[in-house]
Amino acid sequence: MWNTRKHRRGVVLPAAMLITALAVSGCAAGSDPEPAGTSATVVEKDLAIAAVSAPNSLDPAQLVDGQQMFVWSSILDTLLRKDPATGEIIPGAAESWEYNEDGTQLTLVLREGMSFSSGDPVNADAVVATMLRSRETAGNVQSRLASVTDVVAEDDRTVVVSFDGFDPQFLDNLSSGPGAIGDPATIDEERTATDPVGSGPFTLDTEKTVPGSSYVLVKRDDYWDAENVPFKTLTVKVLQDQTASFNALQAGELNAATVQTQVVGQLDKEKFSIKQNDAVATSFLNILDRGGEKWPALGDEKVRQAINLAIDRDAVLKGLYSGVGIATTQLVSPFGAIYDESLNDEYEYDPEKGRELVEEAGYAGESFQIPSTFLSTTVEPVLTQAFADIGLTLEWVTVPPQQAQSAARSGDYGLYFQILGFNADSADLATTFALDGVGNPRGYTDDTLDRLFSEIDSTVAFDDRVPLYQELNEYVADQAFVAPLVYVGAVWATADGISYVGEANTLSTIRQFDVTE
Amino acid sequence: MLSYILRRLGAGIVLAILVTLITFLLLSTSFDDVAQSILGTGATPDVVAGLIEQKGWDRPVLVQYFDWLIHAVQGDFGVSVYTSLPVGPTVLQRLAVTLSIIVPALILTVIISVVLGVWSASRGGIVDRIAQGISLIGYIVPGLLLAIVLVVVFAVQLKWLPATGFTPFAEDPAAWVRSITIPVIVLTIGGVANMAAQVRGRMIDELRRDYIRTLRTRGSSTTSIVIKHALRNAASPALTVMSLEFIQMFGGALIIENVFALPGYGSFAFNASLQGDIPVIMGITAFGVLLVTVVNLLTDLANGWLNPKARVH
Amino acid sequence: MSDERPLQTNTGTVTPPSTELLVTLENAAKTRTSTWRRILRDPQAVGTLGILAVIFLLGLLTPWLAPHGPNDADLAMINAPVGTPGYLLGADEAGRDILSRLLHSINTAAISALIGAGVALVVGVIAGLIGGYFGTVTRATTEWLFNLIMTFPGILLLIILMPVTGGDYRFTMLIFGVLLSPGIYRIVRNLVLGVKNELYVDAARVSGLGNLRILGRHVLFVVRGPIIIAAAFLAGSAIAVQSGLAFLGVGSLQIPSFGSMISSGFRNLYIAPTQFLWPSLLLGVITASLVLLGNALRDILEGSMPKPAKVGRGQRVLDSAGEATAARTGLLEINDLAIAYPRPSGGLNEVVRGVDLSIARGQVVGLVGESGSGKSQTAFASLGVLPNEAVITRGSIRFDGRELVGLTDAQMRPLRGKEIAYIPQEPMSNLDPSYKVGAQLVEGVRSALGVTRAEATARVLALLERVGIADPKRTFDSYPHQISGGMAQRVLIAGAVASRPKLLIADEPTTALDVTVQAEILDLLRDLQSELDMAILLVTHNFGVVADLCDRIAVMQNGVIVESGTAAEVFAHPTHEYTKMLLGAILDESTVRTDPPVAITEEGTQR
Repeated sequence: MWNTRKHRRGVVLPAAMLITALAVSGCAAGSDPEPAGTSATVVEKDLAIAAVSAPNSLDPAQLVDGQQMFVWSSILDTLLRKDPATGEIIPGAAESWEYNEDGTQLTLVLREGMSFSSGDPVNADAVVATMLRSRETAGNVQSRLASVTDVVAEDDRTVVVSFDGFDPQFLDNLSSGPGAIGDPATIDEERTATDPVGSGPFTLDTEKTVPGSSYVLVKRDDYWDAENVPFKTLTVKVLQDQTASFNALQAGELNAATVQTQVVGQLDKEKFSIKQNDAVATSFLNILDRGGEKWPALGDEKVRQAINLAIDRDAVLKGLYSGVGIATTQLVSPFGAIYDESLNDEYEYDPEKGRELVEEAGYAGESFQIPSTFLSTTVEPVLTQAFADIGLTLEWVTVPPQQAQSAARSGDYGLYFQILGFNADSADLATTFALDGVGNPRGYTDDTLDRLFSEIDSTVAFDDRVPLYQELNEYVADQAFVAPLVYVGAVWATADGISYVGEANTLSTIRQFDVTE
Repeated sequence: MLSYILRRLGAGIVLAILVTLITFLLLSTSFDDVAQSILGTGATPDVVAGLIEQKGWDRPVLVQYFDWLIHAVQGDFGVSVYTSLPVGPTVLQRLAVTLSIIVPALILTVIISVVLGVWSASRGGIVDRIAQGISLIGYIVPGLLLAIVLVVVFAVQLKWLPATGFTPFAEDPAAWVRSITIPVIVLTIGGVANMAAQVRGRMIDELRRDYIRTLRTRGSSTTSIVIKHALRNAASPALTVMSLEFIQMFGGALIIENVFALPGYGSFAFNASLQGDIPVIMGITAFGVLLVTVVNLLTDLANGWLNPKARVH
Repeated sequence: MSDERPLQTNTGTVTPPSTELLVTLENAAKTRTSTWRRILRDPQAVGTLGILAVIFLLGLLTPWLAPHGPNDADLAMINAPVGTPGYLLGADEAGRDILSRLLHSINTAAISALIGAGVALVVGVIAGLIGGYFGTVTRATTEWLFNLIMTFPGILLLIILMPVTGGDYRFTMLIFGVLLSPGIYRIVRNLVLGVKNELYVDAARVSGLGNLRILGRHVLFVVRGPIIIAAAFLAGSAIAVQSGLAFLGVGSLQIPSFGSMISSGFRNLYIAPTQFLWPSLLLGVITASLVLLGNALRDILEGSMPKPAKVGRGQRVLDSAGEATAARTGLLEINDLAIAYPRPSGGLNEVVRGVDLSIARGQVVGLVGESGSGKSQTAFASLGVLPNEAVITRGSIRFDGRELVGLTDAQMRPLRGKEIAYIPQEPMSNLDPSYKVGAQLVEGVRSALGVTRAEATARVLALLERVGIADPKRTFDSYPHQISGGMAQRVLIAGAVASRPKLLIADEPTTALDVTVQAEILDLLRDLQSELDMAILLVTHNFGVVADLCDRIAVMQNGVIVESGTAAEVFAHPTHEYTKMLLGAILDESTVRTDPPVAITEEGTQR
């Protein structure tokens, strides 16, 4: 039984823990989640939204998360979903799930009566085939199935996934790329990349779709959850430019888009509803060389703390983000279970103290290079200034976009600026601090981290893990392994009686939108 | 004549081969980065190496190039490493979109430039000043600024024209016209600023030639002299300008495509370059060179038609 | 964006300079204009140079003028409006001062222009010199190489090369310069090819100057003008491309440039519209100024091309002109005609200073004089086809009793080609190269006589035969460049006499022809004259021609008629000194050279 709640910001609800505990232990009943607010609606609208990137490929093995998901998640169903308001894992195509004791086996039970757009049933075989294929095929999804040793269909509705060891992030992954279900009958055909046979609520209107530019999708009435999808068509226009999407919004070509805060005032209040989300991602300075292998200064806790002290987070929030967001020193989502508001006070803006620390550590005058990408442009002057304030020099080196990722992993740089969207509690810290985490290319670890992660990796129940995560969170904040700036927020403007309901979870799916009368 | 055309096309193909070879050599330094991008952030170095081997990117560069070439001459330009869309048809599709903006813009540019140029060359005085003024405004006012104003007025306020996006002609001719209106206007203004001055210059030169005077002495009318004779002779060098303008417009179209979110050749090339989508870049380069060759060839043929001295026999 | 002038080919014949050209040169000589002076006199050139100088000077003074560094960000100043203290033009999305960034962007643009245009010029000029001057093999190689460069899709290549250039705009501009060089190469190569065939280069070679010196001295001199002009356009192009790339986000984001400023202004368009405005306008002004400067330079350096003027306006006439002071009854009566051209410094310079001339029906009058005497001008005035700058200051021209001075072009047209006909001096340049010979003649005949095309064709064919062309049909179907000079002149004569004109004005009709052909043409003219009973005004400097055809002779010197009379009289008893001198200058077998032979110098006789 599910009751969605309005989640109060910044407060860890014991009730949330209870609910997630229920979820993990698999006691969820088979009933469908109710969308926030409305009852089953007969009004079906046309939703037209803007996305900044077009899906590379609709092949289940190649799916990329991010705004690309608007398109692919409408065509391909995922095993699990996340509740937009609370961010908790809720049933998707799978109505229930259960881990075995040591987390090496996950059993998923699918719903009845689901079908692909071709008419074939969405069953355990489909899930097995898709997952095994994604595991074998070089692509974006493969690495997230790294711990999977086998996937079997026990019966028509039951899938058993075996792991070589407990993977705490796996369950969350099932609500994004790795959880997509493709049609085994057609999955190896050429059409899969551009127009797959899908298990999701929409099919692609290939006549009207211009790949890379605008995607038009039409609702499937035979989708198992059709009555909860209040849109008869979905149009996704790829617009990289904020001004262009604002123009399109005002001209009525879109009825939902993110807008820059400062222009919200120009929208006609009669026509548009505004929803402000204060945290969708974290912007932070990732200190890659925490161990000080190449840059000894960065290996010194004092220097790292000094960097944290040098950043005037409130000014950044007000100046660069017009107040939409939250100043923070953590990487985890404020809507999640790990978040600790008190940690935000740990590094009050104090460049003087920072300068002292740097001098104490003996690294005054050190200079660091950092890749400059289009993400970092607006924040570069701030960071340069911050470093200068504490007696260090920061030099930005332009890196072409296609080399940005490899620049971070190359070992040529000790620092890297990122804006990382929230994934899930189980992933957010691991990504940056785990030994094999993407945000930890030098594989830094120490005794505390080793201990914490090995415990985390052997605790199957999420709520049992939470205290470990919290300890980890506090540890990394104390050690100042990274220097977060702010949580970046977003403002959605919607029209035509459509509203944006995403709050704790902002996975780009159609379920972020709802219809109000 | 036919052999001339074939020779030129042949030369164009040779050039295309050379250009794509050089391009591929330059791109071959980034196989690693591309593999990383495909696999996403979670991939380990061995997986990356595995993908490189799987795609055949570890083979000697020349071998890879010839492999591509052999397929290319058969019409198979491979598929995008990211989207798996076939390169050839996609490039042509994108090219069609861009051409559907450039060609009307070029036609308008030529018409307006010729009218302005001829007018100001054969009238002089205040008409000339006005025409030069128009040209000047075209230079000073950036096309982008004008585009914004037009979008705000006609798309956002009046909703006569779309603010973004492109409707293919086949789907809805009227909508297609509306979707290209502002981009074409922007390109045309830039083009006219350039070309009108050239036409004017050519016409002035031409009108001072001896045979013009002789024609006058035979009693030919002014219209006949200006249009039938002077313009015809001035057209030949103006054609060269036009073909250069055409190629230049591709550059301008790139920016416009970005601003108006048009799925054109320029933005396709740009994104592919940023992403390092090697097969797409190769396809774009090859088509680009061939396009330039064809344009140059057409220009020369038109030149030959206009100017008997330049004809090849 | 390089501009290419069509190649000025040298026909290989030596033609005396026209009066117009002499007037121009004279004016130029009188005002002692060096190139610089001419540039400084032209308002457009001066204006644009001034604007550009001011802008780039501001750029150079940036270290002292800019209140902030280009990347100094103050979070509190983000999107500050125009007029904020310390931020005159406001601040951008990162809190950087727009005015400071603007000033620094000027320097970025300047460097882009210098590198881009500089590289293009250096590469293009050197290659053009090599390709134009040396043999065909070298030329073919350079041709091919530059064709290759030209087909590179420019901006695309620059984007692809980003990993190589590292986004450094200077490197990018260097490559762009190479991409731009084919245009320069073409211009230089064409000029070199043209100059190479000039007689003075041959002469230099013969007298022993080495290739390099010839290249250096002569060729570079000619190339100078177009290069300067091209430089202006190239600079504009380089700046525009660099801005475009920066706008797209290609290249280092640390470098302030117009493109990146426009891009961030565009992003903030609805938040602070003026941010977009400043860099756009400044970029536009710079680009426009460079283009206008290029245009002005072209007008100045490549011959004083006058401004365009209304075709078919009719000759310019002062109010005082058009009155005959004496009544006479010839077919063509020219009375106290004066024609003047404006001086660059203002005022009028008379080239024809009060000419009296009279031609009776059926009479052949020779108007003799040296180059610059004004004889062609007189002829043109009678046809009403003086250049637009010319002014008839006084006098009258009466044709068949009707005053021609002051008539509009429309009024003159019925006379031209019908009653008054014209044969030009240089046959090849007087035929439209784009149309077949026959078509041109047919057009003339139709506009003169108003007959159908078929009728006109028949007439033209008959005429072509009449003027002695062996295969009329073949000539009819030929283009001007396919027929010889002599044939072309016959064609022009045919065209002129098609309508049986009362007066034929022949402007040095045989000067451009070979001697043997000259005789034939003169015979033809004589025949036609007697057959059609035409009056002919024969303008020439050649007394031989005059002796052959003319009834009366008028000798012209410096704009006035110094002697006139019947041919017999003038030949036998010339009264004016000048006439005597001219007659005396005719070589005949009885004259012996009296000047000493040229001494052989120490330099030897290198060939």
